[in-house]
Amino acid sequence: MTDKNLNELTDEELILEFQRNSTIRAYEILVQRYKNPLINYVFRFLGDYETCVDIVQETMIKVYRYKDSYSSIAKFSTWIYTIAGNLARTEYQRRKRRKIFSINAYGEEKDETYEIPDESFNPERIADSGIKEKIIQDALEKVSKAYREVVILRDIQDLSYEEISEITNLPVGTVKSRINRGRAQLQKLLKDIYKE
Amino acid sequence: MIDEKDQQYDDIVKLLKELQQVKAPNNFEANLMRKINAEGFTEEKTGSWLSRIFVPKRFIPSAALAVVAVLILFVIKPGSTEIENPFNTQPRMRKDIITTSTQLSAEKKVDKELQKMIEKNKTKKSEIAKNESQNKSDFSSKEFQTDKPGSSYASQGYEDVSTQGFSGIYGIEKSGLNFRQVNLSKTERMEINRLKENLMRFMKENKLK
Repeated sequence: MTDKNLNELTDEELILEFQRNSTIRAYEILVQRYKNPLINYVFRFLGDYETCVDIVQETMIKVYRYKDSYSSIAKFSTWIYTIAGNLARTEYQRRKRRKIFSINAYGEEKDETYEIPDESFNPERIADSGIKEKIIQDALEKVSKAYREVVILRDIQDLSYEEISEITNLPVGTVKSRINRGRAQLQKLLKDIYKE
Repeated sequence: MIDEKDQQYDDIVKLLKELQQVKAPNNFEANLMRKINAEGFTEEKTGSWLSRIFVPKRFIPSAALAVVAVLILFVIKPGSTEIENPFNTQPRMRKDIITTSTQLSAEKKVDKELQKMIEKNKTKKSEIAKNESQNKSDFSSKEFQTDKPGSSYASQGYEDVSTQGFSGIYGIEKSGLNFRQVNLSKTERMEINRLKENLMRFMKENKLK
């Protein structure tokens, strides 16, 4: 199969080609198609670019290794988002544990008070659009994990409720309510920005 | 209701959609392929579960160690320090052979006694026959028909055998023998009983003849 033909194939056809004939080019096209959406999704969830690149690479490696575990019943996009989401969640938990541990250790060993930086709204910082983005990202990170994930998938990645339901393994109703709760939390955190 | 809520959060949705798309670094794919090639992710081998259990190379050293341990424990017996010199030890007595030899000797004894008894019986018969021939001339034919002293003697003699046993008639007694009391086993007893029965049958047959 030529390169042009492969580019015309859908995601499902490409993974099928990779499964059956181990066509590396088919895999590379899938990587090309999904690397940016996944980077965006994981970055918005974790807020750390380097970690998010590692996670997306890990996701791609898992696709390569376990290509045969993909069944054509599901959409390829939901399968790859599920893998990335699981890895991102695991990383989030790991970092959270580490953060708690390091704070405790700091306080115990040195017997000193410590300050967690206050990242609340500061009007002077809004001037730059980059800073505005930073504030939105910080606000996103403050939204509880369960709501943040679905908000990102819906409002940033533009996925349908059904797709989100499949990725998160939650009923559609739960997905919708979580999205709205997440949005409400964001609204509170960003009220000063979007009122401008 | 949810659609209404969607409208309620239009501003926040708009804000989120305006966020810049974060992109992968330029070397993303190169790094990825390098990782894949370096870690050698080839096709997953799907061997049978049997081969997975018995073939894995990692089990070979541990299996060899286990075999050696078993050999040391059960074959070499590291605790025992005494070494038996085969030239200084007495050969073991084989009980089975002894018992069969005693059995055979007992059988032989019985056979010899039988032979003796048969010979004695023959000599007695011949004596009786002689006596009969002598008495024939002495007794009348009537008397001979009614009394039959020879036959009555013979029958009496054999009756004695059946009632008194051989020892009583032929004078075989324990005191006269080089007797040694042996605790016989069940099979030995059965064998002796069988021989006794054979003897009895033999004697009865002789009596009829």
